[in-house]
Order: sequence, then structure tokens, then C-alpha cells
Amino acid sequence: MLTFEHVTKQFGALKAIDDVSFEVRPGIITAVIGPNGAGKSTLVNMAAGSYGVSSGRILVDGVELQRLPKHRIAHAGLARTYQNIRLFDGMSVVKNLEVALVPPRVGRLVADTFGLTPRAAAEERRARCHDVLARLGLAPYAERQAGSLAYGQQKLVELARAIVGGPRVLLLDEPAAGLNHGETELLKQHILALRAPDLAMVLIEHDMKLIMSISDTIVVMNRGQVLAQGTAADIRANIEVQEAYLGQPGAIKDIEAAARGRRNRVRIREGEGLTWHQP
Amino acid sequence: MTSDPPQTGGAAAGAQALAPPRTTRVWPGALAMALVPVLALVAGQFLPAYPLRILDMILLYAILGLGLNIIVGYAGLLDLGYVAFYAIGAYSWALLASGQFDIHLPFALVLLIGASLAGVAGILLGIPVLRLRGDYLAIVTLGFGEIIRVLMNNLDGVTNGPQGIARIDEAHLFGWTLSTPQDFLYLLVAMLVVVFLFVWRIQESALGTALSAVREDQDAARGCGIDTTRVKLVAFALSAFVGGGCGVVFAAMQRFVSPESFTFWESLIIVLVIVIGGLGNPFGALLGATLLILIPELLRAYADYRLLLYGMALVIIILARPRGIISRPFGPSWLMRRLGGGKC
Amino acid sequence: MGALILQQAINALTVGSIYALIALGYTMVYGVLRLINFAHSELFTAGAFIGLGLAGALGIAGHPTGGLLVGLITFVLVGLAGVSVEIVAYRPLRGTSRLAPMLSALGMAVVIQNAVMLIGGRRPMIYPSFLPSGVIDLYGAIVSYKQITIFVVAVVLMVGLELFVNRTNLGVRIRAVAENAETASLVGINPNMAISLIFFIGPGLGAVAGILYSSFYGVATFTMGFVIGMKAFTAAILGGIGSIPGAVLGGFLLGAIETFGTAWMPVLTGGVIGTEYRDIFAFSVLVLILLFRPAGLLGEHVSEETRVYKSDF
Repeated sequence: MLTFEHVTKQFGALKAIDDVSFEVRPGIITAVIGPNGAGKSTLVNMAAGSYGVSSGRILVDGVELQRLPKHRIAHAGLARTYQNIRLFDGMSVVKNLEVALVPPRVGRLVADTFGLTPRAAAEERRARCHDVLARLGLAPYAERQAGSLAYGQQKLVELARAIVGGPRVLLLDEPAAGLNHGETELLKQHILALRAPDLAMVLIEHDMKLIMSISDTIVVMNRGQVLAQGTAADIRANIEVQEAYLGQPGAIKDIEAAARGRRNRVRIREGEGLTWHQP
Repeated sequence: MTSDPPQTGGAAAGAQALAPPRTTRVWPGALAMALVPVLALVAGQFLPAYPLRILDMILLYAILGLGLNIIVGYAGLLDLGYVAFYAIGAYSWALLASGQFDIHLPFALVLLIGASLAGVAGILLGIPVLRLRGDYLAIVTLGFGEIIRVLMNNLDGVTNGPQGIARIDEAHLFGWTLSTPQDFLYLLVAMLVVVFLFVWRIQESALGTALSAVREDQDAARGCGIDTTRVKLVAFALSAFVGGGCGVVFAAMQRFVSPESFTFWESLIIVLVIVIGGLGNPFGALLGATLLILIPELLRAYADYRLLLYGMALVIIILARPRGIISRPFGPSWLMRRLGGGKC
Repeated sequence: MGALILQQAINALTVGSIYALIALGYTMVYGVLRLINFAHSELFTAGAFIGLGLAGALGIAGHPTGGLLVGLITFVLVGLAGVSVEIVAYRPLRGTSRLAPMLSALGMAVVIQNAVMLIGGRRPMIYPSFLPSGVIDLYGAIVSYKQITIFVVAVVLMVGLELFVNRTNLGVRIRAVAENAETASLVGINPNMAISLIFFIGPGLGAVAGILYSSFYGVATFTMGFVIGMKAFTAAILGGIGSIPGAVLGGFLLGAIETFGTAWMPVLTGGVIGTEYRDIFAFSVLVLILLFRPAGLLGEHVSEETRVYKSDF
């Protein structure tokens, strides 16, 4: 379980995240949506240790993340993908995955190098990588150089790298960005298949269709605050969410289509009345 | 350097999708390396002293290249002060086996001491630098090389200053006296094999994977759980360790050391050895060392132009193969890239 | 005692001026490319030697007004050399790893140094002073006109640079590229132009520093750039690399640390650490600053997006 407790992030005078609290429970897919600049990516980057936290706490199964260095956050069981793919381009696909399985202790690493540890461990790590690759349909590319793959495949390799270590929290930062319809559909199947009782998944996405179809719960953010949280149906019904999305053509369409016909459609001027928080 | 089949022999396995048998991979390379001692044995029997001495230097620089390559080739960090570790090793032998302090330790022990001292120096130097962005390492190691030289020049009471230390002991290793270039040829060949196998192990182990990840994208590597600072530190220390060991052998071979042997230009030449040879390729290191030692010997009349040419060579090679040279491990991906027409 | 300290302060300002001028070149290049320009120190040396050659060719050695002319021409020539370094060693390698441009720049540094050696010779050259001679007595400390001139020239150039970067259109473009090359190119700023300009100005300033330095000490050697470059880079890190005021502050600070350190260390340690360890001060400062305050005194957090070169180390 990933928990945000009164998390605030200040960039100079700008409050990018303002007192955000919510929980990401294991076993389900939690989507975080919101217009550009709402603070979704900032939230992910804080959890993964790329940005410091100005105040508040972020926890994975009770372990505080906000003071840990990045690699320790990974050891705590948090894995992520990136908005812009960040594979190790010059290495083979399977080596990319093996990076996530490198023993955390440096002493162990050195012992490994001099052949002081059983060979079986390395073989097992490798087998695990191939196993994950096979699950995501990437087996034929295992020995290909990661940078030479097509964009969609690279996105999948990144997903494979994130899950191979068996994380307890998986952050997916716009996994569908730049994918075509078929690829998005494939990705959707893979994400759904990843759902496991001990894995908390966070999905940040602009593709509302994907969000609405796979999320179990949705957190709506705007201007650094949590605007609403609920199931897809709840969110569809929520007028204020709609308003936050005004001027966000891609995203609004779906919600608007869903909400069309409702009678109490209130116009709220931007910046007003958007602090309401649904418990 | 491109067509040694044994070295890339394990490569075919890589094409298959599911877990290729890894254990077989090391042996072709080891067999290839076994050929080198045979050749050396033959050369040692038939060549006169002068070419043997040159051969010794070539091997020494090849080993230095392999050592430096751990940090430059795998971790992608530029170390411009490698000569400092070499110097630490050389002065270890000079001080611990000479009349300077009338200490006369055995060669094998000093080999270990010198290499370890260099490794420790690497760790101490690495701690402030390696947690930062990689390019600081270049300038700090550059400075460190210079500082070590200043110390050698000025700690007269210890190092005898610019005059250096002469009349260093003859080295004995397990009852075998090391005095002629021929003796050192055998020693160096043995070292080359050991260091090569060592580097090969790094490449094939999780440490090598971690280092490559650091080279490719440090932030993403950290996100995958790699403690990049420590991994870099280990690589830096191992690299320094090899450099220190080479220094001990160098001092035993020359039986004289002075600060003049450890200028920045030596560091530059070692960098060039691996840039010319292709990073990570042991035969490449041999080739690079051969060119860089042999050409100046042949062109003694043009000695003034040597460094100018080295500089130009560095620029031209890097411009011609900016990526190929840097990310060229020996192994399947290396072969596949060569067969694939060098797309990257 | 007071006079002695004053004397050392004046010496520190002189050395500091020169460090600061060179540090500016490092910091500007680093600010935009996030890379060390290894050729910078050799362009400093080249500047000194070109100044020497010009003085001989024009027959104006030892003349302050001539010095101005020589300084101007040298600035332009070395600036152009700097631009060529960028075009040859950096530009073709954008988008590759960061190791490659460092190696090619190192190669350029070696080429420049050896070219200077082949043309100028291995032996130290007696350097004609382009600076006015004479001294004044300031409360017991001796201040030479040379020192005053060095300080004034350095300050004028720094103020000029600051005004150029902050007040002119071109300067704003440079800052935009330094901030984020990609975004800058989106709003129509050609990053190449800004980068070339930086590689013109930085080495130009370094060349002037070379003339000042050699004029002051009366000698020029082809290897002199190595250690000075190290120190100037340390100054840039000390002040906060990427920051122009930081480079100036770092330069003067390092000048002070080195001058006072070299003067007092032998006294404090009873002669164990003598003046021959002068160069070690700069290095110790470098290591300490990296250990405790890697961003430098005036340094800001370097944004990750500013990456003309793709992969990080």
C-alpha cells in the first residue's frame, strides 16, 4: 500500500502539491487524473525520490520514503515507468531487466564478481527476466539492443523492467502516451493481467478511455490538490471534475459525453470553488 | 582486432530467446587467452633483449588499459589521473624493496600491498566525487594525478624528490628471479591473463550489468535500485587496484623510479590505449598498446610531434565512432552489432 | 604585520582576477553544455603566445596602448579558435554519451598545447609586459601599476560580460539556451548560435587572462595552462558552476585562499608544509567543496532537462 499523508511540494513560490492525502490500496488499479499542471507527475516523482518532499509523508507499507535515496526507495518495493522512456539504450533487453535484479548489497555484488556466490542465483535472475519478457510477449527481442526497438515495444520493456523485481507499488507514468490504438489495447490487457492482491498500482494517464475502462478507483487532481476520489462512475457524475477539465480537449470529450444531459450543469469560473474535497 | 573468432565464440547463443547457457561463455575467451602465453613463450625464447623490452611495455600498457577500462569503458566515467595509481604501486615497490629505508619485502607481498594501497586511494578519492555527476571525476582525477606528482617531487625525505629512487631490489617470485626482460615477459603474460579473466568476470556478472546501467542512465539505474555511488566506487577501486599492481611490476622491471615517469601524458596514453582498441576488448587493448608503444619507437626522430599526433588521433577516433567505441562490450551484443552493420 | 596582510590581500586580488577571468569560460560552457571544456586552459596559453607573437610582429612590445590593441586582436583570434573547438569536438557529438565529447575535447587540448609548443618552443619565453610599470606605496604594502591594471581590466571585462548577458538581446538568448536548450529552440532561438557565442567569449576572456598573467610574471611556457586551468575550474565550482557571478566570486576567493594559505601554512606547520605545496591548496578546496557543497557558493540546482548531451554519466 502506498500512502500520501499531507504531502506538499513547493517549487519556489509555486505550490505544486498542496496538502495531498490519499491511499493507493493493493489489488486494485488507482488512476490519478487531472489537467496539465495538476501535479500528477510531481506526485509520482516525489514518491520515486526524484523530487524532495516539502512537507508530509509518503509511505510504502509503513516505510517512509521521503528521506530515502532513490535506490532505497526501489528496494522498499516501489517501481516506476517514465513519461519519456528511459531504457538503457545500449544494453540488450534482457540486460535492462537484469538491472532491476542486481543484488542491492555491494559486498554481495563483489562476491558475485569473483565467483564466491553460487552460480544458481545469477541463472535464476536471468530465468526470471526471460519469464517476464515472455509474459509481455517480448521474448523474441530478449537479446536485441533496447534502443533499437520500436517505441511501443520500448514502452513494454520499461513495464517489464518495472515489474521484474516484484514490486509492491507500481507507478505507471503515462504508459499509453504515444501508443496507437492497437498498442494501447495490448497495454491495457497487460496492465489488467498485472493486477495482483499484493500489488498497488498507480496509473497516470491522459487517455480517458483507458482510464475509465481499467481503473478501480480514480483520484482527480487539480492545481496540486485532490479534487475528488471515487470509482469511474462516481467521477463521471462529478460536475466539478468536468469543470477542471475545461479546455482540455482530449480528456473532456469522454467525461462530457458521459455527463451530457445532466440538468444541473453549473459554470464555475476557473480557480473558484475547486477546493471541495470528497471524503 | 575484428576477426578473432575465439573471443566472440560464445556469441551465437545470444540469438536464442530463452535463457542461453551462460556457463559456456567464458571458455572460448579463456582458450584464446591461453594462446597468448604460448606465443609469448616462443617470443621469449627467440627474441633478443631490446624487442623483448618493448614487448614488455606493450603488455604492461595493455594491462593498464584493461584496468582503466573498468571505470571508463564499463562505468562511462573519465579518469584522467590513472597514472597516480600506477605511481602509488611503483613507489610501493621502490620504498618497500630498496635501500631507501632498508626495507626488503618480498615481491608477491608488495604486489598485494601496492595494488591495495592504490585501491584504497581510489576509494578515498572516489568518496567525495563519485556521488556527483560524472564529469567532475575527470577534473578531480586530473588534479589528483598532478598532486601525487607534486608529492613525489617534494617529499624528499621519503621519495628522494626529483632524483627518484635507484638501486631497487631484484624481484623474486616463489623462488623465481625476475631480472631479464624475458622473465618479465612471462610475468606480464600471466598478469594479462589474470586481469583479462577478472575483467571478463566483471562484464558477465551483476556488477557489470550495474555499471553499464550507470553508464547508460544514472538516474534510471538508481530508480531500478542500483546504489550508483557505491557501484561506481567499487569499479573505481578495482580499476585503481589493477593500476597499482602494474606500478609495482613497472618499478621491479626498471629498478628505478622517478616522478618523471608519472606525468599526465602517461594517463593520456592509457586512455588512448582503450580508445584505439575499443573499450572492453582485450585484444583491442593489446593492439592499442602495440600501436602506442611501437610507433614512437619507430619514429624517434619525430618525437616532438608524438603528442600532437596522439591528440589528433583521439579527436578523429572519437568523431568517427563516438558511440561504437564507448559501448562496445566483448560478447554477443558486440558481435551482433558488428554483423548488423554498426547501426548505432 | 598589517602591511604584510594588506600586501597579501593585494596579491590575492591580482591572482584572483586572473582565475576569475578564466573561470568565466568554464562556467559559461558548463552552464550550457554541462560539460567541462578541456581545451579552455590551452586556449589561455595560446592567448598568451598569440599576444607575444603579435607584439613581435607589430613591434609594440612593452607599450600599454599597444597592449590594448594586442588584447583585442588576441581576444578575437582565440575566440574564433574556441568556436572551432566547439564545431570540431563538441557539435558532432551531441546526442551521444557525455564521455565522447569530453574525450574529443581532451584531444583538442592536447593538439593545441603541442601546436603551441611546436610553434613557440619548449623553453619558457621571456614575456614583454603590456602593462604600465611603476609602484605605489599603500600603507607599507607595495602595489604595482601592473596589479592595478590587471584588476581593472578584469573588472571591466566582468562587468561588461554581466551587462552583455543580462541587458542585450543576444545575452538573453544565451541565458535561455542555458536554461533549457530544447525550450529555447521551440521559441525560435538557435542554440548553435548561443553556444558558438559562448565558445567565443569564454576563450576570448581566457586569452586576455593569458596575456595579463604572462605580462605579470614576465614569462610564458607552453605547459602553463594545465595547472592554472585546474585552479580556474576549481574557482568555477567553488562559486557554483554555471553561475557567472559565482565564477567571479570563486576566482577571488580561491586567489585569497591560495595566497594566504601559501603564506601562512609554512609558519603554522613549522615549515613542514612549504610553498611548494601551493597547488595542493586549490585541489584541497576542490575536494572539500565537492564533499560538502557540490553546488558551490552561489550555485543553483542544475535542472535535469538542460541536456544537450543525452545520457548522463
